[in-house]
Amino acid sequence: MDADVEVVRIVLAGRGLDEDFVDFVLDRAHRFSLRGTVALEGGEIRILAEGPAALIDMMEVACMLGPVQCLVDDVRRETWTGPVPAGRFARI
Amino acid sequence: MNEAVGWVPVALSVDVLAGAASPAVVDGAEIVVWRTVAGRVQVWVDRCPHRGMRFSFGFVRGEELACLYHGWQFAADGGCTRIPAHPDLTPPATICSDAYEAREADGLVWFWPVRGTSPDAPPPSLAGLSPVRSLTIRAPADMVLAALGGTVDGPVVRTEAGGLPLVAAVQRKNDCITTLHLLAASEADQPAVATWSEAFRRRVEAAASDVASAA
Repeated sequence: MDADVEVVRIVLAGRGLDEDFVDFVLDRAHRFSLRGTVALEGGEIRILAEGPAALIDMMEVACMLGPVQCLVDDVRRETWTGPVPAGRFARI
Repeated sequence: MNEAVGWVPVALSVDVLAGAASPAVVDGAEIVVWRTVAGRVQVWVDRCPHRGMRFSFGFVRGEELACLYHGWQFAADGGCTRIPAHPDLTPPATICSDAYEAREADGLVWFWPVRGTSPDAPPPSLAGLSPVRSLTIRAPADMVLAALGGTVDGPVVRTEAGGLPLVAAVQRKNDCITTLHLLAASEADQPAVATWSEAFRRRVEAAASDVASAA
């Protein structure tokens, strides 16, 4: 694995985080060619992302805003040591 | 964008300077028309894929266009080549502008408004004409066309301007505004056609205003 590549878990909490937000994450992840998954669980957006650190940072910054009707109050990020599903970044 | 897909004129070639980027609107959709320093014309969706800043605010550096917001640079094929905040990062191919196929022919810049499809023919041939100006009229396209008269062949109208031959390439900006890219038969006719076009615009806009008031 490239030394610059990270695998992280990001959890976004806030108000109005919905399927539009999931679509938003998918769009950014595909744009940045990241691998991983995104899910909407209990009102939170849960992201597992693998890719160059700079591109993951960009996605996180974008997610701090998200779609206009969503409001992100909290972002938790941690290194992930588990497996990352192969293939294109996907909704689960 | 267009109901019937065909080449759309967006500018006179003389108005797209090397090293410059300008906004344009076609059927309500915002595009950027820019030319590399070497002279290649490009037409893209006027949004940087990073944060949505209009590319038309950006700056051309050689054969690339840089976004004004964070300086992301894009090559003429649309691919992102550099992200200044991360100089060691090789941008993935998925970071790219939304580019249209653009052609320059006979003094006009044309673009094909459906990305991912190939044009079935080249742009209309308008050889031997002299560019006059681009004229933006606050009136719907059908009203402008009715006032122009002449013969209509797709986006091209051949008519007369005060007795002088005139070719107008029609760009519909939205339901209420139409731009005509005017070409005269010769350089000698350019001043008269330009003068005629001002009076034409006033006449058509007055008629459009009357229609709007009556509605």
